[in-house]
Amino acid sequence: MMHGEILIFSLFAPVLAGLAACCLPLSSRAALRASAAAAGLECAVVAAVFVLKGHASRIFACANNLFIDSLSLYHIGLVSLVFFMSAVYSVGYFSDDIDRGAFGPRRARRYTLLWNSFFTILIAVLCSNNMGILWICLEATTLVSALLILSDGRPASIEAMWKYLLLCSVGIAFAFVGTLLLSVAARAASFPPGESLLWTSLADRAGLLDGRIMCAAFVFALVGFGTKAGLAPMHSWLPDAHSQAPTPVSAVFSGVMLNCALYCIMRYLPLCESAMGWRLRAHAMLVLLGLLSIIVAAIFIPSQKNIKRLLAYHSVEHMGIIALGLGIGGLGTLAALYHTFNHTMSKTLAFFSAGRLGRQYKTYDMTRITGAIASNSLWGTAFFVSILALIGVAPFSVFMSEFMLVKASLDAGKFVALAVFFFGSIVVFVSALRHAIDVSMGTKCPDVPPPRRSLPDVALVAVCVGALILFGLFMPRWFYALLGDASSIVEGARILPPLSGGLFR
Amino acid sequence: MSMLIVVLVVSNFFLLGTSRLRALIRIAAFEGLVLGLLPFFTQAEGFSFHTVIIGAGGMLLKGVAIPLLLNRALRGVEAYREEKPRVGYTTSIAAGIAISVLAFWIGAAIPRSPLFPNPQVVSLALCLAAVGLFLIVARTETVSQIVGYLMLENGIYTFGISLSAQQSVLVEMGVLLDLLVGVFIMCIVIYHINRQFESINTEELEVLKE
Amino acid sequence: MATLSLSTALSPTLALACAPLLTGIIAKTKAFFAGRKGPPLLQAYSDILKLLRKGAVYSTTTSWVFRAGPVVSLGALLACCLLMPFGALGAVLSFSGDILLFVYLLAVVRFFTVIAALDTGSPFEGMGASREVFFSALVEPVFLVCLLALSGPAQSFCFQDAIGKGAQISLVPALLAGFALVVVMLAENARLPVDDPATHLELTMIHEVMVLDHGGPDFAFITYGASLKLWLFGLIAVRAFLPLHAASVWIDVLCTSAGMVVIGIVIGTIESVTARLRLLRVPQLLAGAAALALLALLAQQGALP
Repeated sequence: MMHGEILIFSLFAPVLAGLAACCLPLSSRAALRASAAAAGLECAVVAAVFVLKGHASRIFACANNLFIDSLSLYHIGLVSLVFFMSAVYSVGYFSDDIDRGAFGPRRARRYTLLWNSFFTILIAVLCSNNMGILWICLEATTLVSALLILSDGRPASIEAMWKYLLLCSVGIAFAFVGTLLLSVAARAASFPPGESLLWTSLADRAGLLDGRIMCAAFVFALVGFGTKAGLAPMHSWLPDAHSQAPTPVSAVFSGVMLNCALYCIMRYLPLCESAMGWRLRAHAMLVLLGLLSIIVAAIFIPSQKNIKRLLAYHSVEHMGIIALGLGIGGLGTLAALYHTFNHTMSKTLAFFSAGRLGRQYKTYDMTRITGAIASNSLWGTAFFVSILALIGVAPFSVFMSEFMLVKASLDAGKFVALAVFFFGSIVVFVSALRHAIDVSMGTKCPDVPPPRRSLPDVALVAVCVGALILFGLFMPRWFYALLGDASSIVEGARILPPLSGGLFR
Repeated sequence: MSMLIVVLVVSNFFLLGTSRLRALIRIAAFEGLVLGLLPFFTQAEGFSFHTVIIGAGGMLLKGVAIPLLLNRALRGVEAYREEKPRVGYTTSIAAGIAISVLAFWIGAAIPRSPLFPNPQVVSLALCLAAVGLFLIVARTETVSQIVGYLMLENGIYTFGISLSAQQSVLVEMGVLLDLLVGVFIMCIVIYHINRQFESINTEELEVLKE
Repeated sequence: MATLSLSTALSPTLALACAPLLTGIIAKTKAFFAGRKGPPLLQAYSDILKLLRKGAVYSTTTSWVFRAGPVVSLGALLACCLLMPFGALGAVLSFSGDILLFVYLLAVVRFFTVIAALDTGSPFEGMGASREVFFSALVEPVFLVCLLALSGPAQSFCFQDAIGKGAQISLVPALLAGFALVVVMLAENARLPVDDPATHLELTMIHEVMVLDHGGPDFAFITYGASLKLWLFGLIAVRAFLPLHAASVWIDVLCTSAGMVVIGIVIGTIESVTARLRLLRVPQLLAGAAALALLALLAQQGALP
């Protein structure tokens, strides 16, 4: 279908153009702006594809090796949005370095080249229908993003990069075993050779797959992609990498890269569900890892000193919450997907403000960042608000998705999981709120330089906070439809029960 | 085929028993070359376009390109041998014995089915992957850990060979390319670690912890 | 059980007659690598004859134990020769479990060598004795596992079936066991890289230091006994590499003899190109041999292809 090829290739056009632009001899600022423009264009293209796609459930290209459906389009939208915001943010973030001469054109070109390839490969992950290509692209994101951590060459960032590279490569290697087992199961169910790894073919006839092989495949995939998603106990690379990467990169890591790894697990879920029987071990494993992540975050968040590590552990917690939602299934899946968006927006804002405050205070040590609102009203407030959103305070959309999750687990009768979730969230709530109050409200540091304020910064904060509040109070019909489609894909083509009246207007 | 398997298992012990980094790289290269021969003996069709591409690509990459990269990374590095392994060599060999026995015991337990036509190759895959993981855990030099990662990849590659379901050439090549780029980037990290710490031992990396 | 015929009598005769020749081949090979002419092939025979003609000097601090050592050792080794078949030529004595007897006879040899060394009261000899016991404790299980693997198909644990005419082992386990047996041979006979037979430093020696105080006929016994032991171990290793089913007995004997020459050259080569391992690294080498032996056993049991 020619139509589909055009739509899918148009998704790649802006990022490839951005990639090409970085090869031109641009100045540092121009290179950063070019990538921001490319990401902005990508957002527009995603919106256009969303509209043009209409009611078609799947669109294929490249001999069915590439495809998009609601689930992937939803994630592509998130990726583009976060990359766009981070690219805009990085223009301001690096401007001090550019003025000091520490971020010259060569470094800027290398940085934007890696940045845009990271972007491209993430889009490729989300578009690929072939599970082998999916794996290859996800491993490639590890490689490219590892180099992004290294941008400043400090000893700690080298350490973070090494741990990230080794742990994630080894972890993802396990996921490849899962992929191989998937192809074995497909071959055993006598799928034609060309289709044995195509997700759409597998999903359409997932009931034919052998349950035991799929169970093994899912375990390997869960461990592998779970490592990349930062689920405990495979999370140990995450705080290091997030705290040492340049802030725009941390935002992208936390905001979308983890989601993309979870997206891969979401692709495995419906296959395993149908093969292993409805809601069995696969879901129990996800619930277990999710709860473990929440507990790990609850253990480590109270004692954090580094502001970016604090946010990194929040990522572990929220990945756990999303995994928990997926594990509960039904309304939980919807909550998990909704939570993905909310976490992305709030975490991006949190990293943006933490990065700016860290630059201003010349430290990421929270005991030395105090009185942030007084010394930088915009980012100080943004940080406070983002932490409030992250811990699930009421008007923000994170509260809504967590509320949905609670409802789903009550419906499913998972009371133990719910208790653990409540316990973890309360610990995180209290300790993170304490950190946030200390940072934003405490006594103002005397020797902090005045902030630089620019229009893009205000716009970024406004967009993030606006989205968090808007989607918390009122969910647009198209967005709910998108979430519903996406979650019914994860649920294995089961149509969700119609929207119950109480939750949304 | 049995000869190849035995040669690989025996060279695993050399890998576990040596402390010299260059010897480690040489053995890994040798294993890569031998592994490249394996598909010709396990696949039903023998010499086909697919096996030739996979075998030759694997040999070229794991037997030549990656060892060259690693040797290059060692140039200018003041490290010839593993100074402080977390697990001693004799214990490592003992662990290797345990791994091999366990792997072949599991292989013997796999029922012969059209899905797994070669249970011994599955055992070999388990053996290689477990030795790789063991090296990553038990050694502290970055190069040894990279070799461990290579072994893990070799194990998974072997597992792929043991299956009746073939992957498409595109996927196999992509995996190999990822491996090459991965090792290349790890070599870049070695360069940076050496420049920062004047050593390539991971024990130096201890800033970031809880 | 005991079968004395022309062909079985030939096995121990060959061992008694040709054992010192093997040391000669090794010495020649080492001389070749060093670019020297080296001692004549039959030097070991001349040495032994000369020593036999000499008188012995005994320290006043030693007791009968010291004198008994070499005699008992040689006696035990001669008994070993009776158990060992030379290829398709059978052994004089052959029964199920004779491998165990062989191993225990070697233990007797070791025990008397060690106790004689300790009897002198010299600190060097005591040190050598302790090392000998340490290494042999590691080597013995490896040796047993190798022979278990070799004799596996026949289930009789008897030399005749392990390495003699009854051998039915397949190629892969035989090769694995063969390599392990080469290491066992080097370690048991105090060759490089475990022990340096040519060193002049008592501190580093193992076997040579234990026999420092022996002289004259006693030392001749020891030298001859050592060459016999090397012959026996060499024969086991060679047979592991040659699991052939020759058409006639004599072709088999010819191949085995050629194998013995080759193993002499191999030992000489190993000794020329390797250095002695540090004492603490030796267990690692032996662990490697143990790994090979266990793999051989696994392969023989059919776990490996």
